[in-house]
Amino acid sequence: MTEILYREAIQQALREEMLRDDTVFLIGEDLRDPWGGTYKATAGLSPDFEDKRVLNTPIAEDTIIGAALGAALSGTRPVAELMYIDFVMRAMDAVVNQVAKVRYMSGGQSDVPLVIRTQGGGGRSSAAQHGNSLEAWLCHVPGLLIAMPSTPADAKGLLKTAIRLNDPVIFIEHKLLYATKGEVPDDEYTIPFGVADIKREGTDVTIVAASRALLFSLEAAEELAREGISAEVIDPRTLVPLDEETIFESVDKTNRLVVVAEGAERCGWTAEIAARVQEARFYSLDAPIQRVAALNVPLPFQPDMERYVLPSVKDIVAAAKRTLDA
Amino acid sequence: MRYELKMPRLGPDMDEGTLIEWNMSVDDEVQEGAVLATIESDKSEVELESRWHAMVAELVVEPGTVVPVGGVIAVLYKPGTDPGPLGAIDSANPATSAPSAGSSSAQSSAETAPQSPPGGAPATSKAIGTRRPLSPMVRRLLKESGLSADEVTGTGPGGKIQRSDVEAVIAAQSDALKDSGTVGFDATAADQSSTDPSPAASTGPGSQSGDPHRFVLTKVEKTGGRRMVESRSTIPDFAISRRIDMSAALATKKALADRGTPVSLNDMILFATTRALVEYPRINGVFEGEAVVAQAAVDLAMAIATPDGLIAAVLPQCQQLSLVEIGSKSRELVERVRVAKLRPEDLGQGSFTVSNLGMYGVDRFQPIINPPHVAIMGVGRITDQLVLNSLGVPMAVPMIELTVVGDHRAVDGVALALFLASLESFLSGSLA
Repeated sequence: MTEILYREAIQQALREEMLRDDTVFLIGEDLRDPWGGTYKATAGLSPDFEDKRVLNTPIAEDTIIGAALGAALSGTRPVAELMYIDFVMRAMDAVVNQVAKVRYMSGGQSDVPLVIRTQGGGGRSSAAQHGNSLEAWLCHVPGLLIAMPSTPADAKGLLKTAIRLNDPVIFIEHKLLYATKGEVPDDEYTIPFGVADIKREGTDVTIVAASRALLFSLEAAEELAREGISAEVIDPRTLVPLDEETIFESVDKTNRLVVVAEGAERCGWTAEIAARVQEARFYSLDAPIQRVAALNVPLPFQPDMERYVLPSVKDIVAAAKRTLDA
Repeated sequence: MRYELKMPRLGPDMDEGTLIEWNMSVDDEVQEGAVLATIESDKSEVELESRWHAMVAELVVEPGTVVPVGGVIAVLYKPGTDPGPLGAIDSANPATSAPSAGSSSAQSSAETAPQSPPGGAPATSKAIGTRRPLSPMVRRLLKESGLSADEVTGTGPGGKIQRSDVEAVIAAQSDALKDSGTVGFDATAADQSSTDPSPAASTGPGSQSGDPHRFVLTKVEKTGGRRMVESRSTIPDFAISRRIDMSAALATKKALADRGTPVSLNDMILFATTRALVEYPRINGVFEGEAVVAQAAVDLAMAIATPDGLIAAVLPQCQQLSLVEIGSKSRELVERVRVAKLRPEDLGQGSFTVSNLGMYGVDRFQPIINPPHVAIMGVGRITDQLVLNSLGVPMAVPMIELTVVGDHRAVDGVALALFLASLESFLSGSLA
């Protein structure tokens, strides 16, 4: 195991897959060195590969996704980058009406081996147009797979799997995770989609969270432990497909559930998980399921207000306690 | 007025505690705040203080006893009042006789505040007389165990009934029953499924097996189910049936039995099926998308019911076997399935499946193709049917109905019809 940054895990996954398979190429804005991507996730790749394998584009997201889709349908494995998930709006027709649907509308005949890497999330005062967490929108679109890794090891293993899959993947990183560190296996490995990871075992309450909210949840679990409350923290890692069995089994054990996501609460994927758990495991529940998510307002620029709107460790601790006091 | 002193919960992880030592004796008068006992959880040792000025009526458990949270450890009563009948709690088996069934416990639970609720918050009078709503989980546990909420004392916030409270009562009842040597489940667990003799068995975390309304799929059933979904969702199947006169086959069966080499009807059908498949090799095939690949060997898969679900066990190389050999080999195979000692070759892919429900009184049915096979046959029972013979005279003839389900990508109706006709010719022939 070697400790590396989340950003380096992305770089390694891209490099390894580009070396493994000549048809893998990158397309997006400012990917090439010396810039190497806004969050440096593609830094160091352009000097080591042919020019055509790391393509810089104009600021035109619909073109990036449209071109990448065409390339994917023509036998290559593009990894497209949307610099901010907020910009997916500029490419929404391509993503929702084309990328997600080609497999189905061709009667299953067309593989779409396309990865759309992007990053989301707040906490950096990037304001209402650069700090969104829009994964719930994309989860709602049948035909897309959604990965949201929280650690360097998960990021690397899942990205390698995403590139090898023959269906379109939205791979959502987090702007405040790029500089986090974690142990990554030295040998070649991949992580399958649809397999959750229990990041911390516990017996009193289950906390489900992904991406940066997962780190908050681990901190919350630590705080709860100091008060004698044992929290189990589950990272679904991919929201589509969702490993609901692992969540169900945990709820059978703890009888209590808190679901945490950074996006706005209303119609978020926390609601989806809460709904599925009550459908399948109503009689395992000892307390109402609690959601922890952002307030239903555009994300403020002002740092204190942003902190107020986004879910915090404190919010997660309070939600866990609500399930125990119910 | 009697109070039950219960094993307190000393932390959220605690499900049971050990009574280390009594610091009081029967007939002692204890003051509020006096140390009554020393309790040990897996984390710590704690002195249990009295919340009341009280008299000690009974010490229910011996030092060293492990007691579930909520289990009664002693009985106290108000000084100057009648201690009440001690027989209310079975002193013959004191460690396990937590709140017993019936109206007296309903009364006692209403009167008893938990000595120490979780988190160390003081017990409030809220616990008395008011009832918190039961959570879905607790409702399920109560239903599964046949208990009513009155029989369980809540030790959660505000007197809420928690999982451990129900489990403590169930465990106490279960132990009491075990020790008394009686099996009076109808008295204590009226709703308990008769297939689950242990009330405690249904209470483990996440245990579904104890729920009599829930049949958790076995591995065999899950695998079978997946294959059936694959079959039904990808194969354009169709079925054709034929009724066949079994007079000759039954005569052969009798002759073989008289000769001391008995075979079953199923063996005869397997044998005739093998001969017919040799004649129509395409039906003994595997569908590979662009081609049907006829298999050199007739490896007949037999659908065999087991307690874990349906298994398709394979009788290989049937084309090389005589009727009597098929009989002995299929008996051995069924026996291996029965004692769960299957060999790897028993679970091969096979080339055609025969499923027989005749012994269950079924006339005809359409089984689901076992991919990648191209066909499967369902065998009904033999019944006497009125048939006009060649002279126009009605006569009773033992008939069987065979139904072949085929993959229409690989075989058509004519192919299956010819196969069934061939099968009939073998069944009505000598079966040699």
